[in-house]
Amino acid sequence: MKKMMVFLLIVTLVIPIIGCTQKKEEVIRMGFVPMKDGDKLIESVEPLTEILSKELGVKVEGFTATNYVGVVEGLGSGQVDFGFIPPFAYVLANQESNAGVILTALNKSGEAKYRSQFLVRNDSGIESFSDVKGKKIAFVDPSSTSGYLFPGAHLIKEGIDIEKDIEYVYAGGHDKALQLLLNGDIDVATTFVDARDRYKEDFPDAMEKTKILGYTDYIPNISVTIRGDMDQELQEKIKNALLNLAKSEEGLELLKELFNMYGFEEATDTDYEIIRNTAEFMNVDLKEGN
Amino acid sequence: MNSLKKYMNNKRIYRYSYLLGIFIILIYLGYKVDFSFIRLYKGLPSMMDLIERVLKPNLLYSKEVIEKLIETIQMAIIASLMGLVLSLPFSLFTANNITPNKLLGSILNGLFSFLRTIPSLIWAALLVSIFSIGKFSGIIALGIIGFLMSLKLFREYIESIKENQLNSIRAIGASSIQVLRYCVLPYVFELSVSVFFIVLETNIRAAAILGLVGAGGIGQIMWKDLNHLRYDNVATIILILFLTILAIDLLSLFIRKHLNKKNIKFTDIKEHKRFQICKIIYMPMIFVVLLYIIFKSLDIDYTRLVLGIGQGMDIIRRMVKVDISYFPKMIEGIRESFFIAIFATIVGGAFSLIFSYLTAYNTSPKRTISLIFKGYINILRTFPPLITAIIFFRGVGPGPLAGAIALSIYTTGVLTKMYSEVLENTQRNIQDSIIVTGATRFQSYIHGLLPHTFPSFIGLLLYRLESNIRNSTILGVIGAGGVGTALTINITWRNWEKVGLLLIGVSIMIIIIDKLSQYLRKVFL
Amino acid sequence: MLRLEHITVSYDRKIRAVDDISLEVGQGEFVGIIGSSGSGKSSVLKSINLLVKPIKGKIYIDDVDIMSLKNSQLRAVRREIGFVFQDYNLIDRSSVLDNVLVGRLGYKSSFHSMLGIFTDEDYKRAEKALIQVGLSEKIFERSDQLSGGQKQRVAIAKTLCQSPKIILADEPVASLDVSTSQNIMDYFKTINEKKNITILINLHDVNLAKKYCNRIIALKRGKLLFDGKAGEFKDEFFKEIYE
Repeated sequence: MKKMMVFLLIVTLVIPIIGCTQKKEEVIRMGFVPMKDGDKLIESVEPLTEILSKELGVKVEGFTATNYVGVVEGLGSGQVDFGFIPPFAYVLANQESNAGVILTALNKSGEAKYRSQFLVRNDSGIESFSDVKGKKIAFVDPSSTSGYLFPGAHLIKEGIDIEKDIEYVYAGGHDKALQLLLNGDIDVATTFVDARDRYKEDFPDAMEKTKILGYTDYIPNISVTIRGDMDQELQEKIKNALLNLAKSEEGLELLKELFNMYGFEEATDTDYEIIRNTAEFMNVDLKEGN
Repeated sequence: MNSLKKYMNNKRIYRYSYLLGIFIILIYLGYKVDFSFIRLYKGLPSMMDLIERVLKPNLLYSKEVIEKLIETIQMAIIASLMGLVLSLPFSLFTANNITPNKLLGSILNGLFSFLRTIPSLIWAALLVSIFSIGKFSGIIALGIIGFLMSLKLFREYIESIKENQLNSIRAIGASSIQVLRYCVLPYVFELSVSVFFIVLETNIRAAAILGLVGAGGIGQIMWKDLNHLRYDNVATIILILFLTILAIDLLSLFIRKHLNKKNIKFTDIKEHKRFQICKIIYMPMIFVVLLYIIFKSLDIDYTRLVLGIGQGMDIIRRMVKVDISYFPKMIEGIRESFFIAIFATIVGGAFSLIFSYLTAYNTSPKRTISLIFKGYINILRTFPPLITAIIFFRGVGPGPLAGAIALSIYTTGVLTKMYSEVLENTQRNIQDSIIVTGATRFQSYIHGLLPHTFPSFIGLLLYRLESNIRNSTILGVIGAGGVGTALTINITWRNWEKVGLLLIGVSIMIIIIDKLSQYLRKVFL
Repeated sequence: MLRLEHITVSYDRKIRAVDDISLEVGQGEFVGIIGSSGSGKSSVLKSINLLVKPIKGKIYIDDVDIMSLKNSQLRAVRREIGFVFQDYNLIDRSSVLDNVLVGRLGYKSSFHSMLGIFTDEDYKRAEKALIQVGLSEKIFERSDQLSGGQKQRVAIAKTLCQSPKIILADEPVASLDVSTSQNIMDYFKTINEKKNITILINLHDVNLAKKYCNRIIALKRGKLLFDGKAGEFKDEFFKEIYE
């Protein structure tokens, strides 16, 4: 029995040591959800993290998540130090673990905002939002800003009760929503502007077969969010490193290729008030439990 | 005297090096799955916070849940029925002792054991790409799983029919069709109720999570709530799921237990004859009704089906052209899955040895402790590990650690249940022979029951390993480590060449582990 | 009525389980085949209805060479040969009556047997057969609820239901206790005497063979060692068989 106790004692002592040794080397983890452009799948962000490592003087590692919630939970548990997440995910992260926003990305035309569109098939007979009632709609994902939150809010403003007046599914991706629409599984698809152009290699006939029913309000662009308990100094360092990265030609090229970003702009929490308001409007109760 | 000392010494060294070996492996694996007590400790507050929130389920929400729950149960039942009905004719083709064509039989067997390595969640993800979001894809995915599972059970059962039993019918002058009808079918029919419930138990668990990839059922709303971090709603769903799964398990247990010895008692021969004629009328009718129910619930029209099949063929064509350049990534993912599975098996094994002592009523110090633990392990084993992993995201963040812990917990639950049953079924006199020397119950467990039943424990552990390997490949679907992450991402982005490579890799790994485990079982037991 | 000529059976083409055996059995004989395990008793019996195919030799039943028959013709021959196994081989999950009715399968068309329809005649035969083995009160019982001796009696009733000319019994009493064995052997004797059915029975108990059979054939390592009247079987042979 005594030996057993000694054995257990050793176990409990050794494992934390292993845990420690492994953490000895300080690492900054960058969380992201892989995006797709054409048929290139970008999972490996190594070239980007290498540049950032040099800038920061600390090793930077990529953390691949399958879903934005993965990054949000990663920020909450300290698994991820900073991540590229859409505005709605930022608001959730801020709510859950006091995560902060430091930057927002710029799009092709240099703006820090984008919007989403409602697509219908040309032959569907849907001409206005009043025709949408009783139809089947594809949102992208419940955590998506441009594929759920804003389009949903827009529908409500148009007088459509999304729980009663329509049937909806989560497609799991902007391209998936487009695919469902083209296959005739749904009548209306919600995507960012303009997913048809972005995925034209996959769906070459999307442009001619579908038309835009309407646009949502403008949405703040994807955010660079840091975990809640990060000290001011490191925050600044990461912010500057990313801004410098976007200034270098090589860095900008990588950002474009990996994340479809064309630069960064400083951002504060107030920029995302519109997301909170929309979430509230959409009946997504962010205040639960706390 | 000297040799005795030597023997004792050797035995001690042997035992300690054994323990040390396992311990070193465990540390290595812990390292591989990012195990860290510090992180676990740091995560405790947020996990406690989560559990606190989970303990306050939003009961108002249950109304919305019930509708999806019914859909989930319906999906599981329909799919299990579909799999069962389809597997009947195939089982006759693939069973070694009655197959009309041995070559065809072994080709089919090879194909089916390859398909069996693909988890239901991956089937669903693939089918969603082909037949769109919704329960159709879910039912088909579960139907495939149900088909493969019942086929395996039927085949093994038919193969266990003795050659002489078949000969006894052949000797009468019966044709091969008559042999099937009078020798094989009576067994298969009686078995089919059991098989249906075994498949249903698996399918109800799988149906609960299919919604994560958009294949219908309760998982769909769970996914939404997870995305909105509404853990009170998630708790409601988990609670309802728990009760449902438990109810189905109990129903299954009850029916399987009582059906076994049922027989219709006739009073005279006329009645027997009438019953035979009724059977001729009713059996096809039941069959037709079943088919009707199955088709009715598959809400898909013909043109959509054709479109889907066309796209499915395209996908298969692209999958066959595997993308070899992705090989390093595949190995990386498979290695992680493998480490998670081994880690969970060892940790679960260690815990279940302790828990079984407390759970089995013949070893447990007190009857109440035994009852408490019985309830406890039943809770542990009811949840699909994927759901447990989501809870651990809270504490330790997404990644292999969450998956490894979740799988360890599940393994502990299942293994404890099975092993404590083995302990309870062990003959009393083995325990008594130790107790009569004045030993405690704990000593009787350590020195009597444990060594006596250890081979069965190893057997169960190896079965768990096989199941863990399968489970670890899907943990990545939600980001809990392993090859599943790469699989989901590539399915989502329609990189079928890479999906093809990953599926082949997963299959090979699973088949190797299965064969290895079979071999080890043969050697040890 | 039954003639074996130079029968040789081998399962692996190397070791001969039955080595060049010839014998003739007439109508109504009660033949006991004895020998130690592995002597080829079982193989001889199973080759008579071609459950085992001999690699050499010829088998005649009523002067028909059954090895040259087509499948359907072979089935017609088989239905007139009853076969009783040591391990009963009943369909455990079916009732006693269903098991006995199985004996009629050889006379049924595929279509009727698929549906499971039996004629009144079939039912009458089955009932009669069960009365003969004294099991009429167990008729609707599930067969896995029966004792070993009862199961063997059901198996005998099943073969009776075939209206056989010959009954082959492969160690029918080896799994049963002494008094049950005697009881089963009594049934065989009655069947043999009353219906004039030829019976070939494998036994490892020489005393049983001497008591019930009127002819004894002894085998050793696949070869014929003794063939003669039961009374002529001397104890010296006994030693030779089992050494």
